[in-house]
Amino acid sequence: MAQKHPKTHLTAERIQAFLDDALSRDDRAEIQEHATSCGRCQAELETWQLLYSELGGLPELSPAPNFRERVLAGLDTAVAGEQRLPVSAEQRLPVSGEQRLFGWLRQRAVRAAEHLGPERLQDYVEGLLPERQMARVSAHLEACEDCHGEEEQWRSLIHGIEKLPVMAPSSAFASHVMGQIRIGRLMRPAAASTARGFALARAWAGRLVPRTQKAWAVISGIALTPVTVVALLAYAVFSNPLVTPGALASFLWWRISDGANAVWGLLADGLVESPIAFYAYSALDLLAGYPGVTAMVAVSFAAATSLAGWVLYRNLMTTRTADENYARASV
Amino acid sequence: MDFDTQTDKELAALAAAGNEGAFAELLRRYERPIFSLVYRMVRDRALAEDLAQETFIRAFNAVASYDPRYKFSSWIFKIANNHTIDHLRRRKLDTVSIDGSPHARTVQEEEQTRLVVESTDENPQEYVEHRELGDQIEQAIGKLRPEYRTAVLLRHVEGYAYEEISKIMDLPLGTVKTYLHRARGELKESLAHLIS
Ligand SMILES: [Zn+2]
Ligand SMILES: [Zn+2]
Repeated sequence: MAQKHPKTHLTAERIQAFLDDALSRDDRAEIQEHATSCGRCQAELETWQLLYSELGGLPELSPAPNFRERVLAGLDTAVAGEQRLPVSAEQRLPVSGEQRLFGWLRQRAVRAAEHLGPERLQDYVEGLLPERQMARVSAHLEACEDCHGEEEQWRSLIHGIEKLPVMAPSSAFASHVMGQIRIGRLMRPAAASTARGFALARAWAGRLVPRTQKAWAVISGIALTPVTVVALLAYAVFSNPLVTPGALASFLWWRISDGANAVWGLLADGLVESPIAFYAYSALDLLAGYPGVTAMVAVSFAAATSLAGWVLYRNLMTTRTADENYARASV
Repeated sequence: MDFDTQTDKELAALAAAGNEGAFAELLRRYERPIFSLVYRMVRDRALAEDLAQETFIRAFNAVASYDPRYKFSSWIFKIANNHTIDHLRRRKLDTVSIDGSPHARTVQEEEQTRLVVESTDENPQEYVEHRELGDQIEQAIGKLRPEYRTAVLLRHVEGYAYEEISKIMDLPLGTVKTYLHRARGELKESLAHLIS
């Protein structure tokens, strides 16, 4: 069979068409034949194969209709970010977008071709990597036999350990232990059942105690709500020009003494005449003389409450536990 | 009272109230896993039995101090691990001196120590092969540093999650991961002839 392009190396377009399955049977055979006899093109083909599997593992780059345009548009930044070596005169020559795309994709492919380290492979086998990295690793494993072999070894090691049998101690073990427990041995049945009730109640109470920071935040929020509402209500009431603190205080005073008279009789008389009630009334009376001060106090109170709530929220909702920090640092 | 339907936490509460049946049930649930861990840490049956017993006696006598916000299993594994590691440090019984066979040396020992194999569906040939592979793995685990041993056993024999292991071993999550990476690396190297 006469070869059409015996000396011509495979172009990027032809390789891509080959990988896209867009060639005739004869063309495919020809490419395969050339690649088996030409080391350079075989390497090229393998790079592209890896690149394809790599791209398969990148959801944000999955070929859309405008895939090329999108890549070309973002190319300058990508290339600038990845090439840290001094640029030679040759490289500074104007190059077509297509060429730059190829160069950039090659860089990606080379990185994809880097073998997986033992830690990465173990984390992959253990399912510890984020979803995107899992996809990348499995794309590499599909394309790379060396790493695939390593992966199998890790798996069979772990499987071997998991198959180790559960061991049982001697039959005298339990009775030895039970013979040396101090607690509760001398408890009378009645006392034991009361204690049991307490213990179960404690276990139940334990279940009701919130365990997550979110739960605590929600509970604090709920606990803070009445305080905030009262503060806002006070603010609304006092900011109304028709309602003066003095009038409100007198009204409350009247209600309280009336109710107290009805309920406690003589006791209430003592309360009304007590110095504490007198001071409280004087304070309200004094505030009534200065509506501006009163409003400021109310506003400060509301602000302080909101601030307290906000601080509580920030602390509970956004601080991370040490564990989470570690988890982050090591991924 | 029907103990086997109770959760560990309920049992611990009952035990704290002096209920003997609750202690017995907790013991029934944990004697094998705890003994397995301790045995593989020290690789000496009599010693493992003593250490496991002391673990349970300590834990049960202090069950009132168990905090039900944590898993009971983590709590008791933590006590077992601390006790065993303390012992290994005290006796300097480290990796060197415990390189013997993991299986009983006399018939009597063999009888005393019931070996529970959970998967019974494998044929005798496979069982023998697993046992031989198992012996090699046991020996390789025995050569690891005690901390690595604990991490590997908790992860791959007991099946604990990484977070749980970090609680049991009182170590940051990152350290647990590092221990497991290194431990598996050493095992892979010493078992290379078997798994490649
Ligand atoms: Zn060629
Ligand atoms: Zn590879």
